[in-house]
Amino acid sequence: MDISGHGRHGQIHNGAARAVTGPEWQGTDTTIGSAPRLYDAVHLHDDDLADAKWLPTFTLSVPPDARSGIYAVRLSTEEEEVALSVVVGPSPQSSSPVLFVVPTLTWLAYANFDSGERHHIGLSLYDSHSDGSPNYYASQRKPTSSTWPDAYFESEKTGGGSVPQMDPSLPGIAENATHLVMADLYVIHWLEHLGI
Amino acid sequence: MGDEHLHEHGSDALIPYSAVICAGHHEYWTTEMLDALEIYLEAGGTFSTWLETVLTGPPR
Repeated sequence: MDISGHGRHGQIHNGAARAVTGPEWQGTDTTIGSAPRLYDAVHLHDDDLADAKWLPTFTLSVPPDARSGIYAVRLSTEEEEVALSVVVGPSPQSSSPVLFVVPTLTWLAYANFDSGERHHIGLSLYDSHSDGSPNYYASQRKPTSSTWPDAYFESEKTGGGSVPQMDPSLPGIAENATHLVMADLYVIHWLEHLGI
Repeated sequence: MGDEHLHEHGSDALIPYSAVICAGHHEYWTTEMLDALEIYLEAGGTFSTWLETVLTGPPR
């Protein structure tokens, strides 16, 4: 909002970095509300993306008796297919003694991790913007390729990056599939194997 | 159950269960999620996280 009286109000799109600290900020105030005068700027990036503003193209109703778990919605065209992870929680009438909480916020934080040439689909919290500054925001409202249930992350030894992976017999999967969606699928599979 | 459900429903989402498991890489917790877990543990729930450490409340 323009407070000069000239009415030159603006609107920020795509989730630019807000509350950028100014030169007087000493690190003692960590929220803008406690010392707004220390926060001076908005940082715009050419690869900010908090909400792609896609309109729904289909909706899915989960049957009330559906078994809880991690499901995939597979979307395909003639050229490619993507699989989107969907967590179905337990029925309110569930009598199971054990609850598994799926770390969906962590999935989102890492979504598109090290996406390299794919800045247009939004960055993870571990990526830098094209100008080298860090990304502050994770969001559900953008493409999230690395939350595919059949993707896993390469181990840190090999420098990161997400690689589509569906064949459990391929070498390296034991150390690579220890993270996020793949790891959670393994744990749930094991718990079900144990009858828990 | 995903994190969002726990965030939204708080300890009510945990209380029906004898044990709650978080595994893998579960490192983003909202204040509401942590409050829910604290209430659950104070009510006698058992929480296990397998990332590096195991925390358990008193058995019930």
